[in-house]
Amino acid sequence: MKNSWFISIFVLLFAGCVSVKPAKLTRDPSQITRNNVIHQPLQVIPFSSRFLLFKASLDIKKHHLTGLLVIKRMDSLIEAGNPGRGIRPVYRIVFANEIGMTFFDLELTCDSLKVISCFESLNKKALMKIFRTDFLLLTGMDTMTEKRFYTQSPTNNLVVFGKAGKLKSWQTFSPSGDTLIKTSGKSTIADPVIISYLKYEKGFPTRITVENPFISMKLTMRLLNRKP
Amino acid sequence: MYSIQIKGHALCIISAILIALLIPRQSLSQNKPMNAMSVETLKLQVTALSRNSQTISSDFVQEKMMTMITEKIITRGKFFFKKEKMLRWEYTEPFSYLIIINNDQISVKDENKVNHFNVQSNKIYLEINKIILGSIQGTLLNDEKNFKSIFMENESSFIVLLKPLAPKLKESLTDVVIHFDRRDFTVSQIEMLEPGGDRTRITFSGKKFNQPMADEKFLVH
Repeated sequence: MKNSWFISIFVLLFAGCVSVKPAKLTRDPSQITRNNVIHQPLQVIPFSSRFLLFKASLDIKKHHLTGLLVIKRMDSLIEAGNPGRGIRPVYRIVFANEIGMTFFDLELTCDSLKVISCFESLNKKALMKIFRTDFLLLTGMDTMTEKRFYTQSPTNNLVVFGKAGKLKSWQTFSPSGDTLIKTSGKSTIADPVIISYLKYEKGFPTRITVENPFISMKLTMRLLNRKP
Repeated sequence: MYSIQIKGHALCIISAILIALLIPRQSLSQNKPMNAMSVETLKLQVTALSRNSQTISSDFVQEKMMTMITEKIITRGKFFFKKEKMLRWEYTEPFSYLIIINNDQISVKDENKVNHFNVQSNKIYLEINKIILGSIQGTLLNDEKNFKSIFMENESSFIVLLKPLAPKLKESLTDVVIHFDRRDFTVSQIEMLEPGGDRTRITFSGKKFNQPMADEKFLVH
């Protein structure tokens, strides 16, 4: 019993140490200028597409799953649960192996993640909560509020902190503010996520990695097809 | 205006009746149950073809149809088989991905990254291996322990609907539908249906039998 308490405290302390805040930040006094550079809504950069097809691999603990990941913005829109958040899109996220067998099929709204189908070994409540945070951040479902601007040294990248729904989120842009390099965020100490956007082609990142340091999970995505 | 509406309604009703009459007839004419004798003939022919085929190669198109998503995921590739248990399953579009099954060893090459493992250690590949090799060799048609078979036919194909009986397989597949070409008893299409309603259809074309095929084709470099 004593041991389990000790382990729990250790896990909590460890989890608390997983930081998603970018390093070496200096508060940027020129907020108004910055605000004009970065147009609203921030989060839909770069996920403004209706249909995205990626070659993807998911590494979680000793498992290595590969296949195709579809992110589809559905035609339907729903009213967000909390007042003032307005109408939000619905996303369908499907990950299937190369042969076509579905690993998971999820429906994401700003308030919930519904499991349409899922391999038994992946269908865990804790994992689904983490997926929810990952995909909320990836799709930029909620507009960022209470923004604060920073400059990162030595790159001079522009970093924006804000709240997006229940997420506390950081977004790292190129110094000119026109290219999203990284987003990170968490809603609790158990779901920190860092998303990197790489190899931009025609204004869209063709490589995206989603890392969950708390559970050592990494989703790597390579763009195959995009329908605006 | 009123008469036009009535005419419109009448036309709709007539069209609906015609469609209702035509569709069931068409679907019945498309797939009708096979009698016991035809089933036995099919099994014998598929087994004979398998016995006489030392190598098979083919192109394939794979389509994944998902519920609620109108876009199909279409992939293309090449397939090679050499007796007894050598299989090369290669995706060429829109990505490069290679699966080689050489007896009980599986090698996967994904973007220049190569992984080797035993077929028994990976349940997914074990099932895929069983389905693909079993379809080609005709063993699935007699696998009463793992599948319940329903035999049908239409003008161009013999269709075998296999319903998995093993609980583990049932979790990921509700049906496997194999289409055999009537002309030569070769597999022309395999369709896998999942519990969530998603379907994957693999259509084979340009099949070649007993062409020389080096064993090196089943090695990953």
